[in-house]
Amino acid sequence: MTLADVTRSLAIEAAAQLAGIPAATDAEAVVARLDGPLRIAVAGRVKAGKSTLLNALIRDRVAATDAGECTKLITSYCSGVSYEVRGVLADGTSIEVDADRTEAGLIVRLPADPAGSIRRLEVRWPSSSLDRVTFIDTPGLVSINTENSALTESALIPGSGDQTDADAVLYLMRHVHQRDVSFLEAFMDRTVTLGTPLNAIGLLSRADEIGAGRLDAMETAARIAARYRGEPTMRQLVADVIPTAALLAETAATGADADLELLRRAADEMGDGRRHELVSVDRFRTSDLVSLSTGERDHLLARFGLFGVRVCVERFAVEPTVSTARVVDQLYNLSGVGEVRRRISTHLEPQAAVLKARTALASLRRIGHEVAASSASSSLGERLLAEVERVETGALDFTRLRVLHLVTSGLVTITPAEAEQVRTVATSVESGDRGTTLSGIDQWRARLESPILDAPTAELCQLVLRLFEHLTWASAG
Amino acid sequence: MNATGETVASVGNDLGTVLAGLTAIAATLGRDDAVQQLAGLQAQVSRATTYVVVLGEFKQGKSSLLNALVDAPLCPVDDDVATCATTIVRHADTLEASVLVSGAEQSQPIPPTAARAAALAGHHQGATVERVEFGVPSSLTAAGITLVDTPGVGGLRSGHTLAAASFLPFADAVLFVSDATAEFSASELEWFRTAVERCGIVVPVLTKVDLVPAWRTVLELDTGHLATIGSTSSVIACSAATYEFGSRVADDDLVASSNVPMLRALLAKRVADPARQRAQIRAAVKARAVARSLMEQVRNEFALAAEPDGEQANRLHDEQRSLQALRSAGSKWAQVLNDTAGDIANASSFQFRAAMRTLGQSLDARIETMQSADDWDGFSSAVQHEMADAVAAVFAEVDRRFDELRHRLYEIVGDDGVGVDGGRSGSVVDVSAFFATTALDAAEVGRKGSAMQAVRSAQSGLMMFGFLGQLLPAAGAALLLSSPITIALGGYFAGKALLDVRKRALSTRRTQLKQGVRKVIDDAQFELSNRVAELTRTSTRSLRDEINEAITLAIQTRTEALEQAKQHVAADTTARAARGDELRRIAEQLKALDAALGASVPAVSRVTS
Repeated sequence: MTLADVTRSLAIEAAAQLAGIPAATDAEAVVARLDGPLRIAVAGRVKAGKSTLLNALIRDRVAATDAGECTKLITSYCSGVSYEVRGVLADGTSIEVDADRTEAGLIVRLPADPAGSIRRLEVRWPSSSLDRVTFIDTPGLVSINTENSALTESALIPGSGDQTDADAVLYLMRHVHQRDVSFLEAFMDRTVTLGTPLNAIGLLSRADEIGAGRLDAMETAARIAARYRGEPTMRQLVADVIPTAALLAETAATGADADLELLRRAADEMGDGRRHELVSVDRFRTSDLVSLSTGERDHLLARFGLFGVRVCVERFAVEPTVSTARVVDQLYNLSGVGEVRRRISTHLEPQAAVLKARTALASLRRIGHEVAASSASSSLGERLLAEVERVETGALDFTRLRVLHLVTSGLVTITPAEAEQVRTVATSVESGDRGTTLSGIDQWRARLESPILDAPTAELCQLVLRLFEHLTWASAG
Repeated sequence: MNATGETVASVGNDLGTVLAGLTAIAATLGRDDAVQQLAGLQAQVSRATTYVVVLGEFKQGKSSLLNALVDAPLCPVDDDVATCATTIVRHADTLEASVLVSGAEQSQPIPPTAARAAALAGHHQGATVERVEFGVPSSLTAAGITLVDTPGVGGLRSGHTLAAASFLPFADAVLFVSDATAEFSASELEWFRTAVERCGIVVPVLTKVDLVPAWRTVLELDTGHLATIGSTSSVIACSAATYEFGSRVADDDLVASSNVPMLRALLAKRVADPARQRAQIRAAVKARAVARSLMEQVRNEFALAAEPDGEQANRLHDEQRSLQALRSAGSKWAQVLNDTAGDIANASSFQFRAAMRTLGQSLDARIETMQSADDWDGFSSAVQHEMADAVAAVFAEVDRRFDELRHRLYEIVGDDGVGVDGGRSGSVVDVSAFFATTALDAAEVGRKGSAMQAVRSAQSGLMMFGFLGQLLPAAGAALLLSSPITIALGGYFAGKALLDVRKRALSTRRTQLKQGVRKVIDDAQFELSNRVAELTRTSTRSLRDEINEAITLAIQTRTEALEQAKQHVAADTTARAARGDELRRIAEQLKALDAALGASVPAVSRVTS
C-alpha cells in the first residue's frame, strides 16, 4: 500500500470514528482533498506579482491586478465547467457570489451583508491549466494591512487556522528579504514532518525590474537566481529559484497582437531615438516622436511594462517585418513562466500523491489535537494522533523525500558517486539486486562509523541504510 | 536656487564683507592673531557641515539616488548585491576615498575604485569594512551636506538594521527611500515613524519612477499611509536613471524631470541653509568679540597718546600681568576644567553602566517569557533600540555638562580681571548670544522630549561644532560593534519554533541567549567607555584651547595698544596728529562694523526661528 492509500484509509476511518461531532466534516474534507487536484499556493510579499503570475499560469485574466494592494481574500482557482465564484463561510458552507469578467480580470462583488463572514473565495474556471492543479492566490505578507498578512499565514501554514492547506508553494520574491526566509522556514517547519524544500519553488518575480528594465534585465535576473540557488539558506528552503517576468507571459497569453502592432508603429516612429524616448515611462508617455494616443500609451505600459515595451520596440526596430506571433512566443519564453510550468509538471505533479498525503497528515494531526482537547472526545483524538504518528514514521516515502532533500540541498558532505547511488536508491521502488543492496548496507554502515561525520551526513547515512534495508527485506519477501 | 536660498546667500555675503573689513583693520592694527581668527570664521561661514542619512530597505535604489545627488558614480550600484558598508560622502576639492576596517584606529586612504569594491564586498584586504568615506567635489557637498549611505534594512545577511538606526540621532535630515514598484510595507512605515521620532526632518523619496507605469498611484498610496501615522510630508518622485541618462546626453528637460535637482534644492533649503544660518550666528557673535577687542585697543591707544605714562598705562600693564597669570597651568580655570572633566567622564560612564544593568535585567526577564522564534525579531530590535537610546543619552549628558563647564570657565576668566571694571566681560566672548542659540534648541528638545533629540540639537548648537566628527564614528562604532553579535544571538533561534522544543532544550537555549546578551552588553560597555573617555579628552582639549585663545586675544589687545602708543609717542607732532586721525577713522569703521554684526545676529535668528 502506498503512503497515499494508507493516508486515505486513515482519513476515511477518522471520518467514520468521529461521526456525530463537527470534526467529522473536517476529516471528510481531508478525504476529498486527497482525491482532488494538487493544491499549489502562490505566496509572497505584497506586490510581488502573485496575481499576475496566476493569470500567466491559467493563461487568462482571472485575478485582478492593480498598482495598489488588491488581493484581499484568499482565492482558490480550480477547474470548472463554467465560470462560477463561491464564497466560503466560516462554517465551511459556501454561497454564490456575483462576479463580472472584465478586461482587468474578475471583479467580485461581495454581498453587503455576510461579507464579513466570507472567509475565502473559490473560483471555478474552465481552463485546461487547472485540470491537475488548483492554484491558491494569497494576500501579500508584510502588508500594511496586517489582517491580510495574518490571513495568508493562517491559510498556508497548516495547523494555524483555516483548512486551505496548500500541498506546495510557489514563493515569489523580488529580492530575498529576511521576512521571506522566516515565512519559508515556518512553512517548512510546520507543514512537513521531515522538512524538505521539494514542495517549495522560489520565483524571482518582476525580474525585469531587478535589472532596471534594461534589455538584458532577464540575463541579470538569471545570474541572481543562480546565486540564490547556491545560497545555503535558500537551498534548504526551496527546490529551485527561477527568474520570472510574469507580466510578459500574462500579456502574451491574453491576446497581444493588436498591442504589438501599436508597438511596431512606435518603433518605426522612434527610430534611432528609441533609447532616449524610452528612458522612463513618463518620457514615453510624452514623447513627440510617437503618434499613439495617451490612452494607447498608458495601455501599452500597463500591459507590457517599460521592459516589455523596450524589448518589443527593439525587436521591431531590428526586424520591422517580424510577425506578431513570433514576438508573442519570444515574450512568453523571456518571461520564465514556461519554466515554472515545466517545473510544476516535472517536480510537483509526479510527487502529487506524497505531497497531498503530507498535507492530509498535517490536517489530520490538527483535527486530532482539536478533538483531543475536548474532554468528551479526548480518547478519540489521542487515538487519531497515535495513528498519524505511526503512518508518518513508517512512511518510506518521507524518508525518500528527506534523502533527496539532503542530497540536493548540499547540506551533506558526500562524493558525487555516493550522491548518484543515493539518488538511485531513493527513487527505486522495485527491489534491486540482493548483492548490491547488501554491499550498500555495509558501505553506509562503515560510513556511519566515521568519527568526523557532521550531523546532516550522519542523518543521511541512517536514512540511506533504512532504504537499503527495506529493499533487502522486500527482495527477500 | 530658490528665494530663501538667495536671502541666505545675501546675508552670508554681508557677513563676508564685514569679516573682510574687520580683517583689513586687524591687519592695520598689527593684530595677526585676530586676522587668523577671522580667517577661521570665514571658513566656518562658507560651509557648515550637516549630515543627511539615506535610509530605506535594501535594493530600493539608495546608492543610485546618492550618486545622482552628488553627480558621481561613488556608491556601488549592483542589480544583485546590496551595499553592505556604511558610506559617507563629504566635500573635497578632488575625488578621494578612504576605508575604515574593523579593528583599525584610523581610515586609510585608497583609490576610489578600490573603495567602491570594498563597499560592495564588505571587506578590504581581508578585514571587514566598517565604513567607506568619499570626498567629492559637488554643489551639494559644497553646501556643507555630508551624505551617509546606510546598508539597506532587511537583507538576507543583514544585521544592518542597527547601523542605520545608530546614525539617525546624529543626522540633520533623513532621505527615506522606497521604490515605486510597491507601496510602503508595514516595516517601512515603522521605519519611517522611527526616523521621524529620532531625527525630525524626514524627506520621503519615491525612487525608480522611470520604471513603473503606475508610480503616481503608488505615490498617492504612500502619501495616504504617511497620513495614517500623522505625517504630512509630501513624497518626492525621483529617477536616478533618468537623471543619469539626461546628464549624459545633455537633455535638460530629462534632467529636470528626474526631480534630482529639485531634491538637491530641497536639501539645500531645509538642511544646508538653516545650518549655514546657525553657523552665521556663531560667526557673527565671535566676530563681534574680535571687533570689540580691536575697538578697545584703539581706545587704549588714544588714552595712552594723551597721557603716555599715566594711570591708563599702569592699568594696562597690570591687566597684562594678571592675564599672563591666567595662562599658567595652575590658574583657577585650568584646575576647574581638569577636575570637572574628570567628573564628567566618571559620571557618564557610571550612567551608562547603570543603564546597561537595567537593560540587562529587563532583557533577562523578557528572555524568560520568549516562546517562539517570532519573539526573536522583537527582542533583537529592542536590544538595539534600547542600547542606542542609552548611548545617545550618555553623549547628550556629556555634551550638556561640557556646555555648563564652558559657561563656568568664562565666568572665572571674566572675574579674573579681564576688563571687569567696564563691565565688558563680553570683550572676551559674548556669552549672552550663546544662551540665545541654546535656548532656541532647548525649545526643540522640550517639544520632542527625547534624549535623541537632545543630542541632535546639541550637535547643531555651539558646543558641538567641533564634536560631531567624533560623535558620528563613536556612536556608529559602539553600535555597529554589537550588530555581528546580535546576528550570532539570532542563531540560537533561527528556524526553530521554541514551542516545539522540549522544556530542557528551551531552558538551555534561554541560558545561552542570556549569556549572549551579557556579552553584547559587556562589549558595548567596553567600547563606549573608551569612546566617552576619548570624547572627554578631546572636549577638554578643545575647551582649553578656546579659553587660551580668548586670553591671548585679551593680552594682544593690550600689548598692541601699548606698543603702538610707544611708537607714536616717539614720533613728531604731525605724525601723532595723523595717527590720531587714523585711529578716529578706524574707530568709526569698527563702530559701523560692530553695528552691522549686531544687526545681523538677531536678523539671522529670526530667520532660523
